[in-house]
Amino acid sequence: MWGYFTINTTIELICFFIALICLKKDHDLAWRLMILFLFMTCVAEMTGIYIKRLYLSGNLHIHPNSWIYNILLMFEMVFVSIMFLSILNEFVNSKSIIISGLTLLFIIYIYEILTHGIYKKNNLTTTVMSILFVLYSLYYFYCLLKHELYVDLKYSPAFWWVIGSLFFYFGSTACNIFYYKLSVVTITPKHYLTYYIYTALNIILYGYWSYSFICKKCLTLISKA
Amino acid sequence: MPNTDIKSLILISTLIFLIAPTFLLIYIFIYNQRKKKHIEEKERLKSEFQQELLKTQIEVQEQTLTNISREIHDNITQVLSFVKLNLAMIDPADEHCKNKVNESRELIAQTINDLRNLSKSLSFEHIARLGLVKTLEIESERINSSGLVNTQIVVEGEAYTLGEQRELVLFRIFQEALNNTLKHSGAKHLKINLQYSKLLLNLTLEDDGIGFSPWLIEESLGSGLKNMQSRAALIGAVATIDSLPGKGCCIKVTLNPLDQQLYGPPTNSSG
Repeated sequence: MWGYFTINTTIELICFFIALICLKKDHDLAWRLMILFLFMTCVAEMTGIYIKRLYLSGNLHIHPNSWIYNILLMFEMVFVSIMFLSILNEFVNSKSIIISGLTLLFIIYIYEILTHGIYKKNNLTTTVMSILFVLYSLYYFYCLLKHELYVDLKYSPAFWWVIGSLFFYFGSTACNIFYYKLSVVTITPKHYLTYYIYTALNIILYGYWSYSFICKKCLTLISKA
Repeated sequence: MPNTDIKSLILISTLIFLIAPTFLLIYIFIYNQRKKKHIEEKERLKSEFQQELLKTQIEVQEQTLTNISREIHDNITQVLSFVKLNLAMIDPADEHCKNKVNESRELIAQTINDLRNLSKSLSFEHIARLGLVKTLEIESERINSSGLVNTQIVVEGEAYTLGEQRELVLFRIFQEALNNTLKHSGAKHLKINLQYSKLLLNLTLEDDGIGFSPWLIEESLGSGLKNMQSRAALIGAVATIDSLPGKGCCIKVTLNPLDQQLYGPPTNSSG
């Protein structure tokens, strides 16, 4: 049972509970959807561990757990895009940009599924998605700095959410590009190098996201007061 | 390329990918701080410009009022006095005509008196010479004699001079409030309270009129209420307006006499 609580799953669960507490009454649908996305992430991670165990034991399941993450990837594309749509809409009408990006991702996703099936990791989709989200993040910063109004960044939920995303997707772009090289490098007998990189990236991502959810809750309380 | 070199290269690339956003984050924070300073500077300049504009407006207004005041005093009242003298020199035999002349003389005398009072009320020099307390007392008497509203003036603490400019601004606020009371409130009583203490001066004007909803204060930007607040801000004072329908209106102007703003320092002579 305790084997399901790794560093990754623990930080994801913490982030999920923070989101549940802070965002359940938020007026913005995009932020509320983050609760659902984080719940799905936690379920996928737990299922991933379960399938990995079956795969390593070599008894029931013949495929590694990549297909779980391929399914999660589809939801990640949608939910994170919705969040970027909501955040960028504060400055510009970003509907066309986000829909175009999402269409491109779905085309690549379907192409990859048709090419190698669902059991192999959709590396190209992940890489393109990471690059797209990095570009959205940079575009957000550009709009933020160009905007004439001053925003106190220390307490801006959108800013911290984007910073977390930028760190994660920028870092994971490198990992995705060198995935097959990195995944054979072993640091300890138990884990590959990619495990440590992704763990570090996850801590950064969910740490920033949790903080942004808390900021969002505080802002909602202040505006109500 | 040896395998270890490839590994190092990959690790360095990964590290760069992790460090780059950190630098971006630092840059954004620095840029944002600069933006904050720039906005603050812009706001400060805007506020200074607004104050300067308001000061100029008030100066122009004061000059105009002074001119009108002089014109009333030096020209109109002189002409009326001359007419009054001329009437006095007539010695009609007809009793009816005599009564009419006397009646006219009384009316002219009253008009001269009213115009002199009005001239004093408009004049900047008058408040500079008599001080705030005395001017308010004279105004209070003038209003009482008109019968429009019954005023009562209370001075608490030892009165001191705030400097003619600041006293003039307070007097103009009083006039604005009085004008509102007479025009809109339908009040029967107006209480004027002046509280002098070392660090604080309170001028409170309280009427028992029909009052108004607090949101009217927000809506009436640019009108008399806004004017009072702008004038108060010019001398570093704060004007608060409290009112509810049927509960009358209370205008309170609070000023720290030691806090200097725009106008010159107060003198220490008593008022």
